Amino acid sequence: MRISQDLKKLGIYSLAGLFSLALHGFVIFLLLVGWTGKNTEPKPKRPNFVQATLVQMAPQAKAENKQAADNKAKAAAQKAAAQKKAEKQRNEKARKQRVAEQKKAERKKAEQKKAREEKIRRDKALKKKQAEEKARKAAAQREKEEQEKRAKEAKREKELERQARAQALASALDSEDEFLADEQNEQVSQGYQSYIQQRIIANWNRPLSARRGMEAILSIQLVPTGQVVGVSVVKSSGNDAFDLSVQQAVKKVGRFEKLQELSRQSPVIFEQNFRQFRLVFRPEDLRL
Amino acid sequence: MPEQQLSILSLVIGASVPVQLVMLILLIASIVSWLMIGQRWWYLRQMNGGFRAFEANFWSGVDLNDLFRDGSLRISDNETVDGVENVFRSGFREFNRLTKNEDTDPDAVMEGTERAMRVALSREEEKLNTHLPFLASVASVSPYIGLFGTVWGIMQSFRGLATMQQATLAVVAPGISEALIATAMGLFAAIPAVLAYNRFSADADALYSRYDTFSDEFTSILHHRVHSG
Repeated sequence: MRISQDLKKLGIYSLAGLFSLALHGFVIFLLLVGWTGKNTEPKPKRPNFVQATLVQMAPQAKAENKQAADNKAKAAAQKAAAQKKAEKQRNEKARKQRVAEQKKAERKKAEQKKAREEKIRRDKALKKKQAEEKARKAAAQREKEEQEKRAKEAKREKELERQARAQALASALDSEDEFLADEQNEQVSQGYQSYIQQRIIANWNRPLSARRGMEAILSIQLVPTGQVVGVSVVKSSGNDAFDLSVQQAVKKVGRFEKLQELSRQSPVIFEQNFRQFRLVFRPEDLRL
Repeated sequence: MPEQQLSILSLVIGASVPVQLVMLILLIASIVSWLMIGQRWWYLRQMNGGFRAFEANFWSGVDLNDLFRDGSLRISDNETVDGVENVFRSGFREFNRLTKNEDTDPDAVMEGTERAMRVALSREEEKLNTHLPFLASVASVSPYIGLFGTVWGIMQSFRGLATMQQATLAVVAPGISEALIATAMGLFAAIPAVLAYNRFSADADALYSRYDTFSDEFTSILHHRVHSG
């Protein structure tokens, strides 16, 4: 009687124990499986986002650039065409003037020749010298006139040159503006580069064999969320452990949060500088 | 990087020995307390059902001698007789034994019967309250044990931080994370234990008071019998 009661009690206890064990096993299983499941969930969302931004962003930037460039080119072409026209007109005027002057000179020559022939007829020997002198004078005059013409032409050419220079200056100014903008972008991107470097150093476990002055060049690919999608060593430091540790540091960072803001604010800078970029990893503040 | 994500398992395995010990203690405490919870739940349900059935049987106008004999039969059939029926049986047995002598004073009979029932009642109360102290101590102590594990783990990880050259969050974070698991486990063990303790002690109290009421009623019935018979 006693034994059977004890057995029954034991049965209840073992049932309860089984229930308890099953519950704990279930909870632990949920923890182990559910944890990783949650982490893999947001993963497929990322590529969508990246694709969307990618498709929209690149053509926009290009189109803007193209439009701006087209406008500039058009304006420049128009200017150039107007200047060419003006030059042509000026040249034509000059030619006409020259032709008229030449005609005048020819008429004068003809008259002079006639006079000379008459004089020659009147006094052949004596007046030949005078005629020759006159001819010389006329030649001198012609030379003077030609010189004046040349001077005028030179002046015109100088003016043209000046205009060309002004134009060149203006275009140079334009390009300088662009250059300044580029420089600003570069400053911004340098700030982000130092941020990236800091993040990598923060996640870097220094291998024992690392020495001061080691330097590895990495190629890192990011997507607009700042997520690292690829990292490879372009130029090795000569120490495999060092290279590997740097690569692991980049992978450990996983995502550069600030770059997501950057890619939102100015996608162009992101596309130009951080879609794929090289990074010189050179930790100098090591106590080695 | 999913492969570098710290899994709970790796954190537990990588924890220091005292923290692992704490986790083991808490796991065992949790398992045992759930065992107790299961057993108590089953027992109290049975007692409740048994009390209702017995009470219905008792007030259905059945002869008390038949009721007593029925219980005796069941005991001889290797079945358990529990709860309020034990109170009834011990009281009734004592009453019958005392009333066999015609000379016995009715008050003495009642006194002996009441004493026997009180003894049975206190035994039943003891049965109702078994394991509840264990649940209570798990409920109150396991958060502290978990906290101890956490404090120890954080201590260790900060000590490790002191010797580091580059003090970053990434260096301390795994240590703190693994240490916090101990607190989580403590709470995991404590919360069900608290709930179960409160629930079961309230149930046991209610059941005991009903036993008490029944024993009073039974006493009054016997009292009638003594004085009328």
